Amino acid sequence: MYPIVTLLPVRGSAPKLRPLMSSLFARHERLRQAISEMEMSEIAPEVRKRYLSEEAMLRQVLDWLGADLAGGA
Amino acid sequence: MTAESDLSHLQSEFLKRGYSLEEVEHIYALGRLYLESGNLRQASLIFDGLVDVVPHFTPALLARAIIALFQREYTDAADAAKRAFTADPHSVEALLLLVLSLFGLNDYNSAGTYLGEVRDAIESGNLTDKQLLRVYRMLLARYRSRL
Repeated sequence: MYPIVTLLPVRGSAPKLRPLMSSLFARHERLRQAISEMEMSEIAPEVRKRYLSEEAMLRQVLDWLGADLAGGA
Repeated sequence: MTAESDLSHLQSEFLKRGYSLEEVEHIYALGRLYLESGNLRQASLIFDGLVDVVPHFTPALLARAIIALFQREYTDAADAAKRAFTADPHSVEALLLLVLSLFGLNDYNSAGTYLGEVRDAIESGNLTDKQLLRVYRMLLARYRSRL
């Protein structure tokens, strides 16, 4: 481990994401839907950026959890 | 701030964005796991998302500063560390990361000022964490070697 990482506070527990997988999956689906609807509407760039950033974060979490993002949790 | 500081004051900010404190902290833990194992791309996706969802979540801002330091993007690192310090003015971690960033920018004068703030925290007894003290001494030695 890089020594500098020890400056980061220790919080939470990644394995505890597992029971939250269904709700995270549902949130990711809602975001994907919202983003696809944004394509057709005038949305402020910063709002769009935030949605995309949150979607990428959730996708990474779900990928780590082994969710099938194409076919469901 | 110390590793044990309370984030409950951010609870309403988390909930407003549709996340519980518990969810945010577990997602943060995954990002930390990626960072510990050197997976910067995955860690960046997690921490960038957390900062966009909860802009005042100090641990994620600290993580972004660390990633920028790894990438030698010292201006970005300093910006993230300053944001972390603004979000939590008691964060010694933010000050230490800011000092590291300023070293990268060869701004030793400003780095010395922030090292002084850490020294004040030590002298007032507000900093007892051994790991943070070790990092402070290391940075102080590096600073003095440049004088």
